[in-house]
Amino acid sequence: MSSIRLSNWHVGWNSSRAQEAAITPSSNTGPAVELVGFSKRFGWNRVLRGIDLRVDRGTTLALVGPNGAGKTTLLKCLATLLQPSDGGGTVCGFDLRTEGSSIRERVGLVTVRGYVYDDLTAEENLRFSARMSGLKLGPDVYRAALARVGLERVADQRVRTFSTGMRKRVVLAQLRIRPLELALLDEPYAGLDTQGMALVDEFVREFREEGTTVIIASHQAGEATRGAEQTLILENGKVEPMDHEEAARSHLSLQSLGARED
Amino acid sequence: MELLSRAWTIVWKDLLIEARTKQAFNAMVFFAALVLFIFSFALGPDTELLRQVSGGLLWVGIAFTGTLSLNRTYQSEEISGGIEGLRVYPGDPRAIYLGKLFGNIIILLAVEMVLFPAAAVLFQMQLMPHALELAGVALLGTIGFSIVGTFYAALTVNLRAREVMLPLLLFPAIIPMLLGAVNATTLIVTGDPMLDSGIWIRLLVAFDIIFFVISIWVFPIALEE
Repeated sequence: MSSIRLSNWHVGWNSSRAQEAAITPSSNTGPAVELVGFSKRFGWNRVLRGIDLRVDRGTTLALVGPNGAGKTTLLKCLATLLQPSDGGGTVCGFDLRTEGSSIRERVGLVTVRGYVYDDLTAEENLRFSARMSGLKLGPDVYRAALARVGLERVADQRVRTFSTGMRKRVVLAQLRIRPLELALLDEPYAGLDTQGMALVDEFVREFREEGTTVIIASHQAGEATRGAEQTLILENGKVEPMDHEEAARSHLSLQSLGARED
Repeated sequence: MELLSRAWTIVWKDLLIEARTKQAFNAMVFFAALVLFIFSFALGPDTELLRQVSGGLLWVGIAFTGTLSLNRTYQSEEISGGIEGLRVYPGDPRAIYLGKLFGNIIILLAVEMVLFPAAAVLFQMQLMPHALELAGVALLGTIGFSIVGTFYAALTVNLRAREVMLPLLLFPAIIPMLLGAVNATTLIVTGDPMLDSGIWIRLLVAFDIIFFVISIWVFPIALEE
C-alpha cells in the first residue's frame, strides 16, 4: 500500500525520516468529507442545522460566514473534537462518531490561538506535537520547519515571548511536520502580517499540489477564497454554495455579500 | 507501547513547564507547610498526642495540598485551548489520563519529600527507623489519591465552580484510601508489634487497583463534551 508523505519542502528531510513520518492513507477513495443531516447543539442553542455536505478529495474549499455562524464548531466536529448531536458522516472515509482516532491521524486543525504552550520553546512545541502524533523526528526537522516559517532564530525562545503573529507561525509549522489528508484552517490569516499571510497562501498551494484537501474558514470572504477553488457560506446553521468569483472579488466583510453579522 | 509513549510525552511536557514556572510545586510546599504549622500550634506541645494524631494530620495536609495540584492538572492546558489541545492528537485518549496521572504522582511525591521531614520535626515522628514502610504507604496513598483525583479533575475541568466541585467529589471517594493511609502511617510511627498495618496496606493496594481499572475504563467517556 502506498503512503502519503510530506513534501520535500524543508531542508534536511531525508527518505528515512519521510518513512517515519509516513501515514497509511485511508483505503476509501470516496470524498474527504461527507456529512448527512449533521447537526450540533449546545444546550438549546442549535449551531449547525441538518448540514448535508460533500467535499471531494484534493479540493480547496473556503467556508465563509459571519462571526458566530458556527464555522469553528463545524471544523471542530470534522476534527472529532466535538460529537454531532444529530446526523453523522465520514471524514477521510472514517465514521465521525466511532473512528475518531483514525480521523485525527489524517486531519490537521489550526485554530485561532493554536494548540501551543507558552512555557515551551518553539522547537519544544513542535517536538511535543510530533510525538503526540506518533512521530519521532530529528531536531534538524524541527529547525527546518521553523526556518520555513521564519522563526529559526527564535527556535529556543519560549512562545510566551512571541507576538500573536509569531505564535501563529509556530502553529503553521506544527501543521507541516506531519503528512495530512485534510487540513482545517480556522481564520488562518488572523494576526498575521503580509509576509505571514503570503506564507499561509503558500502552504495552501502546497497542500493542493500534494492532493491534501483544505478547508479554510474565515469571516472575511476575500481572504478565505484567495487560494480556494470553491466557496460555501455558513449562515443560520446551514451551508449554501456561494458564487466563488463574487466571493473572491470581495475584500470586504460578509455584510457586503448580504450575510447577517451577529 | 504507543499509549505509554504518548503518556510519557505529556509527563515530559508538564514537568518541563513545572520546572520552568515552579507554580504548582512552590504553592503546594508553602500551603502544606502552613497546614502542618497550624495543626502543630493548635494541638500544643503534647508529644504523645502529636505522635498519635500525626498520621491523620499528615494525610489531611497531603490531601489538601494534592487538591491544589489536581485543580491545576488540566488548567495548565487552558492556554493552549484547554484539554482540547491534547484531544486533537490521534491515539487512545487514555494516554491523556495516564500522562496527567503520572505527572500528578511525581509532583505530589516531590512535595511529600519536604512534607514528611517537616511533619517529623513538628509532630515528633521517628521517620528513620521506619523509612521504608512509610515510603511504601506514602507511595500507595499518593497513587490512590492521584488516580481518583486525576479522573475527577477531568470531569470538573469545564465547570465554572470546579475549585469547589473537585473536593466535593474527590474527598468522599478517597475515604477508604485516607483510612488506609492514616491508620498505616500512625501504626508504623507509633510502633506496630502485631503488624496490623498490613491490613491497611492491603486496603490501599486494593483501592489503587480497583479505582485505576474504573478510571482508565471510564475516562474516554468522561472526556467527551
